[in-house]
Parts: sequence; C-alpha cells; structure tokens
Amino acid sequence: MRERIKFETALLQLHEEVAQMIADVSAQYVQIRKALFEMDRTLAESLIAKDEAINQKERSINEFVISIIIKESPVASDLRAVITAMKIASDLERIADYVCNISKYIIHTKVKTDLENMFDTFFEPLISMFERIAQAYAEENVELALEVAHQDEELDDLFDLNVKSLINTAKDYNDSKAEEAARALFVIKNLERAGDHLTNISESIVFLHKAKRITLN
Amino acid sequence: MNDLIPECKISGDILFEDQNSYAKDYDVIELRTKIGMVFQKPNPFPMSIYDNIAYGPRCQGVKDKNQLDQIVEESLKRAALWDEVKDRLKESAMKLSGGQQQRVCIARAIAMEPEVILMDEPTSALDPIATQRIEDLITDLKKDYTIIIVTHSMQQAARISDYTAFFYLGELKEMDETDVIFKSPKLKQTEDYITGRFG
Repeated sequence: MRERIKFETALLQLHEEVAQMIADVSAQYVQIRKALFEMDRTLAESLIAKDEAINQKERSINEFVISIIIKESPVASDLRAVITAMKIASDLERIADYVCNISKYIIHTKVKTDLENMFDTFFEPLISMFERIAQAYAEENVELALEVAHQDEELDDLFDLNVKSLINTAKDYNDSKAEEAARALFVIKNLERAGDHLTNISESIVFLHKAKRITLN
Repeated sequence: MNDLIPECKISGDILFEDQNSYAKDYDVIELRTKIGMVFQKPNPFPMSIYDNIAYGPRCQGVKDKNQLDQIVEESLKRAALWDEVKDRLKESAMKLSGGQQQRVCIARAIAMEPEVILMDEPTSALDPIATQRIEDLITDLKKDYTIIIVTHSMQQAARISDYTAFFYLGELKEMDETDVIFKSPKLKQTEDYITGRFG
C-alpha cells in the first residue's frame, strides 16, 4: 500500500526538476563546445546570459527541498532523495559556472588560435558523461553512474597530457604564444573540473540508491 | 490486571535479568520496584504532590519524615519539577498542568529508584513545549536509567532514543541503532513504516 500522495507527488516533481537542470546544463556544454570551436563571441555572450536561469534553478530546488523537509519530515530513502537533489543541484550550478569562464575566454581572445581541436577532444568524454548522468539519474541506474566516474579518468588523462604540451608551448615561443597557452590552461582546467563535479553527481546517485557513501576517482 | 480475566491467555516470556516475569513463583511486587511505568495520559493519584511521590517509598516501609522529604525533593529535582512546585507540595497534584502532572508521574517512578522506566506514549497528550520538557528530561534520565519508550512519533524516536525497535502486530521486525533505523533500515517493511507508506 502506498500512501502520502502529496509527498510522493512532491518527490516526483523534485526529481523532474533536477532532471531538467541536468538537461539545461548539458545543453550549455553542447553550445560551449560549438562556441569554442568557432570562437563565436555572440554565442559565448548568450551562454553567459543563460547562466542566471541555471542559478535560479538551483535556488528554487533548494527552496523546494526546504519546504519538503518542513512539511514531510522525510527519513531514510526519502531523506536521501531530497538531500541528493540539493547536492546535485549545487554541483550542476558549479558545472554551469565553468561555461561562463570559458565564454569569457572566448570573448577576450582577440587573436585566432589553433587550439580548437585540442579543446574539442575534451568534449567527447564530457558530453557522453552528461548523457549517462542524465540517464542514470532518470532510471535510477547505479551501474551507469559508476561508468561516468570511470570516464572522468579519461578526462583527467587528457588534461595531464595537454597541460604538458601547453607548458612546452609557453616555454618555446614568444610572449603572445605564452599568454595564449596560459589562458588555454584555464579553459582545460575548467573542463577537467566539470568532470570532477559530474563524478560527484555519480557518487550522489550511488548514495541515493545504495545508502552508501563512496568516493569515486 | 489480566489475572482478573478468566479467558486471558499469555504466551511467550518477558525476561528481566534472565528471569521470566511470567513464571508462577516470580515476585511481581519486587519487579514493580525495579521497573517504573509512566502512561500515555498523566495519571497522578488524587492526593497532594508530596504524597504522590512518597506513596511508593511508604509502601516499601519508609516511615522517617526526613528520609521521605529527601526522596520527594530529590525525585522532583530529577524530574525537573522541583522549582515549580516546591512551595505547593501539599496542594493536589490534580491542579497541575498536563505537562507538570506527567513530570509528577515520572518523579513518582524515579522515587522507587527503579532500574528500568517504561514510558507508553508519555507525550502524546501534551503540547509541544511540555513535550520538549519531557524529552529533555528523558535525555537526562537515560544516563542513569534504562528507558523503554513506546512512541508513534517517528521524530521523537529519532530524537531521543539510542536504539529503535520496530514491532508489527506484536512481532519484533527489526532493531538497531536509531541512526541506522532512520537512515537505512535493513527491511523494506521497516522503511515503508518509518517513511509513512504503510500504517
């Protein structure tokens, strides 16, 4: 027998809002990939503008969770559902901030660089991680969540490899090349950090369904 | 009281200090000095506050006025009621508020220096502030006494108990540290009950 219809409805709505936020942030990454590849300033500006809606989404999820806690005193799996919703929203908000940082890089880079292919390699694992996180959250799929954490290692390897190459570029070339390499380092650091936060979300999904805290990667 | 009902049948054992309290030769009078009881609805005796507390010790043969005074004061202090009633000990306990009456009942139980105090829904008839005082009192008393509390308030169980047991239709289903029961119980039935999915 299932009771507490209002509570069930609220939990379902919360789940949908978090799923929607994953989709919104994911869409920002599809767009920033394009903006970075084409060094499209107009697109970069529009992505910064969209960030406020994502911040607002996080606040609204937090408010919703607080109201559920006040009204329904959730425990056990219900408590994990509301706590992880809040934690995932916070990770997503941070992941979305990186899109703003990278957008600013695009806007402030005046000269044409030849780094777009290097940047693009980061998006293969990253976009796939987003897709899997979305599916793992929607379908309560712990195995899939764990796969996301493994993919993050791929992203970390890419980062280590390209840090070395950018440092070498900075050493070997003139001032403007060195500056370009230094600024590009920030971009890939942001992409690497996005992967770390997606891994946090994997951990939250595991905690939600298994009641176990694990540290992945 | 079940002794008065001819068709009453009892099965199973209730062990206290390894002795079955249902055994024929078991001394229930002695048992009652070791296990105190506090009920859902405050039930002070229709007598003064002082006499409520002194009743048990008197039955046990304590006659000395000084000793009784001391027991009454100590018990009321432990029940966090002394400051409120010390100037009106001779007044009827029935005149006190619900929360105060319940603390008289707790003081009455403590006066016997029991080892265990059973509390059956001790705050269900009280307002939130009186409930808070009783819960604070239980938290304090559990340092010295084993307290077994029956409650239908999940929040109360989570707040004040160290261990929680879930019973369903007279059977113990699951018992564990309170944190474990409310974070991740082992049985789905327990989870469904504490999350309010099943009554």
